[in-house]
Formats: sequence, C-alpha cells, structure tokens
Amino acid sequence: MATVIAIDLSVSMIRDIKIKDTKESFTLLQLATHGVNVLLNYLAVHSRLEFVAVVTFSSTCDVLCSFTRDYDLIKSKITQLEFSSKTCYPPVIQTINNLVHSEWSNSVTCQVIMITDGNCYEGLRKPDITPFLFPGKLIVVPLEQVSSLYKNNYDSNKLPNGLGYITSPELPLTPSSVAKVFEKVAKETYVPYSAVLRCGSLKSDVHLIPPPMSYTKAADFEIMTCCISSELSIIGFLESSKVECPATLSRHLVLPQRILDECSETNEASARTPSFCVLLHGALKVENMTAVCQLSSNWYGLLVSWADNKKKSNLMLIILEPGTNAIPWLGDIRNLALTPIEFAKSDDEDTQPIKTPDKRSYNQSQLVWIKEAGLQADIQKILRQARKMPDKIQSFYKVIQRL
Amino acid sequence: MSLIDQLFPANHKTTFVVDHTPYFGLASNSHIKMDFTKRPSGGIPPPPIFKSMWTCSIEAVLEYCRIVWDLFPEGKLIRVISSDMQSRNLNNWSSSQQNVNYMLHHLSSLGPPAKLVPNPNRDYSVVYGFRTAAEAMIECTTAQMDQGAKKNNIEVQNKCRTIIITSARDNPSIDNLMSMFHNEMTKSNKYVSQPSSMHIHHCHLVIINTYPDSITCEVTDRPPHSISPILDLEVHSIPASKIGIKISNLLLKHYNLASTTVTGIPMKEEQNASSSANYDVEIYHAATAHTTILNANVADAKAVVAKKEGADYETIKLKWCTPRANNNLPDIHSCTTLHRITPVDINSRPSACLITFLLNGRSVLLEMIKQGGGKSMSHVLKSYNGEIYIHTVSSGRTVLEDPPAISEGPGGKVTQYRVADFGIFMRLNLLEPSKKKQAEDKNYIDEAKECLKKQTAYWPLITTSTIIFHLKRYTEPMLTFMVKDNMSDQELIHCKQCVYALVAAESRNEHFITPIANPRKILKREDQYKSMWAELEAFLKSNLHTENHCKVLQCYFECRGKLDEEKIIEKTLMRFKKSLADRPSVIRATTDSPMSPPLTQQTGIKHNIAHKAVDVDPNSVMYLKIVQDQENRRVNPSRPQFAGRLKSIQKRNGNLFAKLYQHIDEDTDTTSVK
Repeated sequence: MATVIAIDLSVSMIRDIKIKDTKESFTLLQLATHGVNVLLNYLAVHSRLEFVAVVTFSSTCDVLCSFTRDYDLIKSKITQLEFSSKTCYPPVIQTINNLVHSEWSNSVTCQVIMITDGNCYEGLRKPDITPFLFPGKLIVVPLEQVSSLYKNNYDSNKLPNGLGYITSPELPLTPSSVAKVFEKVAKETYVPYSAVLRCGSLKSDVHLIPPPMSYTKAADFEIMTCCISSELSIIGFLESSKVECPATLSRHLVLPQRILDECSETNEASARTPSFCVLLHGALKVENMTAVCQLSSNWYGLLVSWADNKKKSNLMLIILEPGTNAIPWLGDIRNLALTPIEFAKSDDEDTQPIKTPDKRSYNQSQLVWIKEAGLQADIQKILRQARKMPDKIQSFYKVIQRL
Repeated sequence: MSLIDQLFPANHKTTFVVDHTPYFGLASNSHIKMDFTKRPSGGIPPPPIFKSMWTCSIEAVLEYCRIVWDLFPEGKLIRVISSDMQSRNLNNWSSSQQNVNYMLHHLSSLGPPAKLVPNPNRDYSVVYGFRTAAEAMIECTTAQMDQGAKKNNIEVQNKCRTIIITSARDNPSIDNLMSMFHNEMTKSNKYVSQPSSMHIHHCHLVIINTYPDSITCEVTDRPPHSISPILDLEVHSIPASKIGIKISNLLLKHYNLASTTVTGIPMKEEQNASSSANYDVEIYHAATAHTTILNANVADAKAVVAKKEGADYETIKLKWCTPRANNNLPDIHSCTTLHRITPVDINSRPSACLITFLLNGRSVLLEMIKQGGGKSMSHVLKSYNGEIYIHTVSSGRTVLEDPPAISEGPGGKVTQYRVADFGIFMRLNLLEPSKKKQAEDKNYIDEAKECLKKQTAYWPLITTSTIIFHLKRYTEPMLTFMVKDNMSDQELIHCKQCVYALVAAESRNEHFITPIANPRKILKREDQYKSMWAELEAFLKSNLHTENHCKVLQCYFECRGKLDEEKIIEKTLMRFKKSLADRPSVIRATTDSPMSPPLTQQTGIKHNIAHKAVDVDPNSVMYLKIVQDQENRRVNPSRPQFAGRLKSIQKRNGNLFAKLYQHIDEDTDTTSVK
C-alpha cells in the first residue's frame, strides 16, 4: 500500500499557536510536521513496507518527495518548507492523481492524508473537486484553533463522492493533541489484515499485505459490493500454465503470523515452528502450480509463489474480479471440480477446458462488404484466379465457396 | 458517472427497425468501381454498380451486431425488425437467436425490398415496425426475469434503445415518426402483464435518416435530448453509403467502447511475397482497457491518441512489438484488465493476418510510444479458446517491491517440510472444468472443500513428525484408501493387509529407516514401533468416514489387543448401520457380496491391468502405483472386486504376512459377508 501526505503551505500556516500555561508557541506548520513525524514513526514500527510520498500545496502543488520507504529522508525534507499564497484544493487532487498514476498505474490502493488549515469542510465539497482516479481514500486533518463554523453546517465528516473523511484534532491545539489524532489515523488506516489460510484441515494464520479492500462493481442489474471473508479456503489446484493471465484486481503478500502465545518466545522459536503457509509455498514453487481459493461466497483468488528477485520468494494472493467468471477460458469457477470425479470419463482427451458455444466472427469466414475496398479485393481475387484457371482451380473454388 | 447511473444500461436491449419499403430498394447512387480488367483504352466501361439503400442499412446493422456479440457474448441483446407492408421480426431475445449467422439466414428469406406496386389497401411504411418494437421492448429478457425473481432492494428498470433506419422528407416528418413511436410505447406500457413483460422505464430512440448519395436532404441532425420522462431522441441524417461508418460511431458510444490501432505490423505483401511492409489494424474493445494510459500522463496520452480518419472518434495508436520468444510474456500478476476484442475491418488482409497469428496461440505485445520517444509495454493481445482478449499490463512499480522472504518469517527456518508429498497431494487435487451439468442443490466448491478436508484430516507438515508416511512399503495403499469418501470391501481388505504387514514387520523386528530429527536421539526399536502404532491409531481415528473405514480401525485394535477401544468402535459401527437407511449408496456397497461376479460393464482392458497387478509382489512400489492408478481409473470405485482374484494375491506371493495371518483374513472376510 502507498500513502501520499499533502501539506498545506499557505501563508496562514505560519500562524503562531500559544500553548496555555507555558511560554511555548508553535506555528501551525510546526504542528503539521510534528504530526507527520508521529505518523512516520508509527509506520516504521508497524508497517515497514509502506511507501510514502509528500506533496506540498498552496495555490500550486509540488511533489516534495516521491514514493519511498526511507522515512528519515522524508523527515529531513519536511523540516525545510517555504510558504506561499493561499490554499487551493483542485490542483492538489490533480497532482496526486498524476503522481500516483505515473508511479503505480491504477492498480494500487493509495491513502492520501491531507493537513490543511483552509476551510476544507466547504472547500472539498465544491463541485470542481474531482474524485481520485485510483482506489483509496482521503483523510483530512484540519488544523484550526477554533471549531470551524463550517463544521456545524455539515452534519457529517464524510466527504461527497466517497472521497474520504475529515478527522480533526481535539481543541485546543497542542503538539500532543495533534500527535493523538495522527496516531488515531495511523491505527485506523494501517491495520494488518488477519486471515486464516485453509486447505481442508490444514490451516495457517496469515497477514495479508497490503490489506485487501472491499470492491464495488456495477453490473448490468445490480451493484455488487464484495468483502473478503477472514477465511481463505483453498478449493483445489491448477497447473500455472492453465491459468495464464486473468485480470487481477490486486495482489497481496501472504505472510504467516507470528505465534504470540508466550511472551518469552523469540523470533527464532517462531521461525522454527512449522507453518502450513510455508509448506504450501514450497510445494507451489516446486510444482509450478497455482492454488485456487475462495475469498467470499462469490469471489475467488489465486495463490502462487512469487519472487521479486531470485532469492526472496513469497506466497502471493492474487485477487481476481468478483464473480464466478473471472477466468473466462476456464468457464464458471463453480463448475470446476476436483479431478477424481472426472476420471469416470478418462477417455475424453479434451485439451480445451471449455468450448465456446459459438465462434467469434473473426474465427469464421464471415463477409463484410461495408467498405468498398473489401468487395473490390474479393472480386479481384476471383478474376485473378479465373485468369490462371487451370493451375489455380482449387483456390478459385475455395474463394467462390467462401462467397 | 456514479455507480447507480451505470445500473440498468440501455444497451442491454437494442431494437433496430429497418425500413424495408420499396423506396429502400432504390440504388444508393454511390458508385462502386468494378473496372479491374486492363481493357484497351477507348473500350466501353462496364455499367456502374450500386448497392441499394436497403443493402447499405442492413449491412451496417449486421456489422453492429457482429461487433457487439463478439465483445459481449452475453447480456447485450439486439433485435432486428423490418417493416414494409407489415413488420417482421428477424429474431427474438433468446440467446440461440442472438448471432449473426441466424440473422443472415433469416435475411435471405426476407429478400430485397419489393418493387413499388401501388396497393390501395395497405401502404408501405416503416411505422408498422414501431408497434413490434414496442412489444419487443416490454418483453422481458431472461436476465431481466432472473433479476426480477431475485427480489433485490432495487427494482429492475427496463431501459432500452431503439434505432430506426428510415428516410424522411423533412424535420416535421421526423417529429411525426417520433410521436408515433412514443404513442406505441405508452400503448404497450398499458398492456404489461407480469412476469413475462415489463413497463418500459426509459427508451433511447435514435433515428437514422438516410437518402441516396445523389440527393440532398432537409432533415437536420439533433443531439440527444429528452422528449418525455420515458423517451430521449437523437437524430442523424446521413447518405446511404456512409451509414456503416455512422453506425460504428454510435456503437462506440452505446457500449462504451474504444478503438486501438495496432501499428507497424510487419507483413509480406500480397502481390510480392519477397518484400515486406508495415500495416495497421484497428480493433474495438471496452473503453476501460485504455483507462490506465489515459490517466497516467496527459502529455503521453496525447502522443498516442489520434483522430480516426474519416470518422469522428479517436483511436489510440499502439505499436506492435515483434515477439522474440513466447516466454517474454508478462507474468500473471501484472495484468490488470481483460477484455474481448474484435477487428474493425474483419475482411482486410492485415486484420486477417493479425487474427490468424493470435488464434494460432501466439501473443502480441503492444508498446506505447511516449512523448519523449520512450516506450513502455502497455497491452498484450492473446487468444484463449478461440477468443482474443486485450490485457492491460500494469507498467507502474509495485508496492510489493523488496518484500521479506517467506524463509525469514515464522516457520521459515524449518527445513523438513513434506514438500514432495504435498506436491503429490496437489496433483491428486487438480481442478478441472466439469462437463457434467451441475445439479441445483449440488455445489462443486463445497464438495471440493469437503474432499480436501478428508484428505488432510491427518497430515503432518514436516517429515520428522511422521513415521507412517515413510513406511509406504507397508502402509500403502492404506494411506490412499483411508482418505477417500467411500471404501469398497476390496479396499478394506487391502487396508487390513497393511495393518497385518506392520504387525508382521514388528514380529520380525525389522528396522524402519526414517529421517531423524535429532541425530543424538536415535529412537530405540521398540520406541519406534510404539510411536508408529500411536501415529497409525491417530491417522485411522481421524478418517472414520464410513463403516468400512471404521472396520480398518477395528482391525487395528484387534491386532494391538486393545479390547476396550474395540468396544467403542463397535458403537460407532452401530451408529453407521443405523444411518444406513438414508444412505442407499452404502447399502449397495455392503449388500453386494464380494463373491459376486464382476459387473458386465467392466472392460477387457481393466481385466488385464488387474491381472498384471496380481502377479506383482504387493509390497513393491510398482504394485502400489498400479493399484492406485487402477483405483483412479475405475468407473465405480465402490464396486466390489472379483473375489477369486483377491484370493489369488494371497496364495501366489509367498510373503510372510499372507501365510501367517491368512486365517484372520479369512475370518474378517466372512464376517463382512455376513
């Protein structure tokens, strides 16, 4: 998963906030930086695989730091920020869209955390705010000294079009209240997804990284919203060559969970406890096979062994499109049965998994003469072959037959 | 567009009403050049040839159908209605009639428009088709009926599209047609009878006004606009020769399609096979295949988008990338979308070449040339089962970059996983599309899960925690038979023999060779047997699926002299017998005596295999393989085996166990017959 942090650099962010009962005072920007550091520290401990990018915005928008896992680099960069002009939301959404697309294409879920002092309650509800072009959501942390007037005008903190939500720190603003809200955001957003990987009676507790999202798709007659259940049940295996390249919604690492029943147990002990997940990975890798698993009642995925480079290989869950026809060339997934049942018809040496009932137009000789050239070419061909009649008689008949 | 707007698209039901009046029999006056012969100059040129307006229209309609049905084999339905003195349906909504060949067949019986014969009783008009179209629209499709039956929270909306191809004099007569159509719709809506028909909630009416190329027409184009809550109107006026292009433009909008032009396909020239030139082929597919590249970078997107010549839509130009070997395909992870494609110009030679190339199983990578001159692979064309798909390849980085290896995580340091055994397990559980039609209440997925559960009821993960799986010499085929759903009486005998074999081995004090967990702690022989028996007991206990399964455990207890345990298993057996009444399959297995002759269906080939098996020492690996194979290949695994053959196994091989325990074997045999 990836995260974009957007920091408001409008001039108003320079305002000083006096902390009660002390002589200390902080600018809003300092508080923002503090919040980002809290977030990065949380990630460093709990979600080391997270990529983070930082953009700064005012009336224009700049990419301060592209996606990286080097959180210290980000921390050093956000200490030196300069202010300019006033807050403006549309360009930042546009920039983030471009940034995410050029880096990840559109297959990666991306969280956007925006820190601003502008009137985000109203500003982000304006019609010129376009939704993100990638899966993910916007979390806005407004830094305001007083409870916003606008806040009362809108009954919910949810932003329209499923853009995301606003979560404000407790007042008065202090470094600790800001830290608290960022911790809350981090805890809510970066939850490891726990699931049980099951194959018959064998099972293993696993984490899915990045966490799978629910998926909403509009079919012709219904809107389907699918959520992954916490049990991934293997229903059988396939040769990898038969699976080929189905469309994948997302990909997730399947990492076995540590066994945490005894506090004294070290990593070493955990590493020495056999895990079904590791066995499955080993076997899939050696046999070059794919396990088909059911994610929820109408949603399926594939488990494969995947290697980023030669050394480190891992078990990966490939989430297919919801529905039972995610791999069209295998037919309805519900119609896949374990082979022993099929052995009854062992004489049937059908290599094609399913036969398409009717051929596509390009697979049969169909004629379309809409364009003049097509008709001319066909007639020319007949004439040409008619002229060389004795030799070309076979192909002449072939052409005539086709017509 | 929000998701709710995408529900109930109008393109689910499209109706064409095509004018079949004598006027449409007139020539389109678009001259088709047919002068191919190199006749001496001054000769008389052949008379010009014209297509009739009817031909132009119906060709365009068929092309529309062809593309839609190629791309959406299900769920996008089209009907064609012709109208002259009466209206005629060329097909209905049923899926068997939703294909081009069916339509062509019916068109040939319809024939060209009649010559104009004045008929005082009845006029020729396109209007007769309107009622038929309205009737077609209220008729429910199978998908609509299924959804209606489901009773979702959202009521099914019957939205449709009607395309009328006709010829009108001027704008008022178009309005006239529209209002007549509207009337027919409201009239039909009154006669709706559930559940086979349904109110028309909305209709998108497209009127294509066409005329011979030689004349001008007073009808003007009108963009889509709302006429009434249930009707939107759009008018296009176009000469007959251009109707094909117009219709394919509309098609892209109606089905949200996009066009891709594969450029630079190297091909031998038709006339001169020695030289090769580069060709372009245009294909249509769902527009979402382009989302990735259009969103990525505005400048890059502009570089590939081009206006299609002679049409008012855009096509994206992607360069053919000559495949070096077939293994340079991107791996399965990077494909994000998948859509069917169809060539635009199906009969052109370049299209045909590309299609043949793909249908022969090769794949084509498509490159996007970026503005700066850089390239990135963005799509793959590949065919499966005779259907060609375009895959979008994710070109971005992956968030899974530099992941921790699984060997670093929990369980990663363990080295004695039974990987090879799990490999065999996977091969035994391959999924295959079933050719049998699925019964309503039966579910292969649940069946498969159940089957896997039985096979893994006892399955140690690592080699050092099992002994019986290393003693396949003794324990097979018992290990295979025990995890199966059913156990035939013959399989039961095999299993029992395995138990006896182990008893015999113990009495001979044979040493088991098993992998050792800790080299300093070599098990003593007695301990080894002790833990083996314990494991075997655990294995048998976790696989008590049927009566015969229990009998194996019973046999084990007999051999081990555990009498009190035997009583418990006795109870389990009683329970199985009680439940027999509702399980006819088990009854058959138990009532059929093992002495009964083999069923007549058993083929000669299978006899041979069985006899071969008999000659081999049952302890050898070969024998196990054959028995396994044979079991797998059998038509009905629960059928009792020919009894005489079973006896011969025991007699022929001079194995100790057969001699020693023959009496026990015979005892149990007779009890099971009773």
